[in-house]
Amino acid sequence: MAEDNLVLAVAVLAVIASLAAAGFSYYSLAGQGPKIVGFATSTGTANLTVDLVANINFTDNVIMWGNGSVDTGMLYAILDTAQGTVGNGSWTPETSGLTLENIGNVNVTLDLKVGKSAADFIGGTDPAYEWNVSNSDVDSCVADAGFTLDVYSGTTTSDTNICDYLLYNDASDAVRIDIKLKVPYNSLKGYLVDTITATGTAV
Amino acid sequence: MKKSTVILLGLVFATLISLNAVSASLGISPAITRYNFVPNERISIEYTVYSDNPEKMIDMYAQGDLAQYVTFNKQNLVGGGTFKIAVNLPANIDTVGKNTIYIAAREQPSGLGTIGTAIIIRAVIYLYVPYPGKYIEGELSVRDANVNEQMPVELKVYNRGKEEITILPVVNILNSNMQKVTAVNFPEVQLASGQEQDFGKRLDTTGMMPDNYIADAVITYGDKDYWETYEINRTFRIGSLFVNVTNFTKQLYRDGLQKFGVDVKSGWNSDVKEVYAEVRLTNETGGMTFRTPSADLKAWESKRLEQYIDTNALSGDYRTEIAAVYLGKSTTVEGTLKVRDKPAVWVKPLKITGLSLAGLIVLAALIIVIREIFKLGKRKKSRRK
Repeated sequence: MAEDNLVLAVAVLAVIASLAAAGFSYYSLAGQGPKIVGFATSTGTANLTVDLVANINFTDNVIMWGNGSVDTGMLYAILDTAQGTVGNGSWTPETSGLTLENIGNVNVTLDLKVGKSAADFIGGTDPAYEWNVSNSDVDSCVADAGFTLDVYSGTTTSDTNICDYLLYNDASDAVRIDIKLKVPYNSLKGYLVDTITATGTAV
Repeated sequence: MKKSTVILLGLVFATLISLNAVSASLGISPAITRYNFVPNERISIEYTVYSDNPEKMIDMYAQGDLAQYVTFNKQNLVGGGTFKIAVNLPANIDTVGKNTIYIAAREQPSGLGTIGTAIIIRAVIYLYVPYPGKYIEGELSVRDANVNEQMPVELKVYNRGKEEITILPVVNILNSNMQKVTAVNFPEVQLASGQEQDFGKRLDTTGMMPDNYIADAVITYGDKDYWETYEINRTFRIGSLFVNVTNFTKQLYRDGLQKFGVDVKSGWNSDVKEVYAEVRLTNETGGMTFRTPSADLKAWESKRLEQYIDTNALSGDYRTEIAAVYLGKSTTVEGTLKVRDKPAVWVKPLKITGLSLAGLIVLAALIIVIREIFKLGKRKKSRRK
């Protein structure tokens, strides 16, 4: 009887072991089952052409001092957008200057010119019409050897090369153009206007 | 004042303010095109002009030495659009090499404010007229890298001459002592007149020392009878993860809180985050230890790390140990910090230059001569007596 029980126990263990082995084998084989295999039998080509675009944008394109006059008893007034001041005059101070940004995907050269000389624009005794170009974004303008950034200099009615390269990198692609006027007491009267032309050439 | 009037005035004011900062843009595409000169060829290009103002009047025109060969299908646009040009090339152009034609788009001025603006945007057409005989041009591009990286070396060669040539380029890599370290070789290629060829390989920087290097491209070109070389070079840097301490404060006045600076420079071609300096000042009487705030260094960037220290707690000379700590590494330098009492009044030290010394000698000599003359005069008088 005891021997029968022993045989029964061994048989039960054998069945359990067999079932476990069968299960293990099943999962092992299942793991080696069919997989997605093969190789590409055809090829595809993605064509993409990126056009070169030269594009400049005056993000601030107006300087407006409005109405005003030289203070009584003064020889002249100074209107300066870099300082944001009007000295000896009653015009409204302009603080922003002009901002020019390269929004294309190529570098450009930048030339500037004004439409009128100081005498034609302002008139009177010893008028002055000056510009000051500075980097609005750091290192945007690789200045031409004949031009100095960050200082006022006289405007010109023919193109002045300002930047050999005005870069298009988003972090370095904008310059600020400030204007200073010296308006003498005996200047031209009425609505005085002029235009600054910026020429951007792809390089 | 009525409420409606106030609102109206406010609206007018707001309109004026907005007028004061409007934008205006003008663009043109394709910005750059390149052609080789072929006698009597007709080149056609379609341009697109971009404007942010749909009512803006824009006119187009050509500039440059060859502008007379350009014709337009239209020369005005409103608010942007497309236009076509044709360059009807002549049988011969005398100006060999690169000729530039500008295709310009010009907008009408804004007409606002005391000073308004206008934009002219210019696309360029480069027309290469071949040189007689054999002539090549090349462009070499390399960039900074770190040790154990694959650095791209790109070379482009243009045959700008009239004759077909064979080119054999090699890019020699020279270290800062102008010694050849390695070379990037490219295969021999035949180029017809006007053709160009791109070459590209990766330079394995494994084993190269961190240094400044020169990539010197030597392009041998010609045919079996006659060979010439064309050379272009570019500099690049191979970096390693190293932040150097290039300078630091060596003297301070004993005057309350003073700034102590440590100049660091990255020699790594990638960003190094959170670099700081640990500073230890010691002498026989004591000292202090402090740490600067951390800063991020971009590739190859130099920066000054600064910390305020109380100089009233210091006096005399201190041995300075500075450790720049970064990315689990550190660079240590040593030196001396002199802490001195602040002078009550600063007196400019007398500077004796060569010129002032010569002046003094001349003055002394003059005095001696005058004295001797005076003595001589006295003697003569006494003799007469």
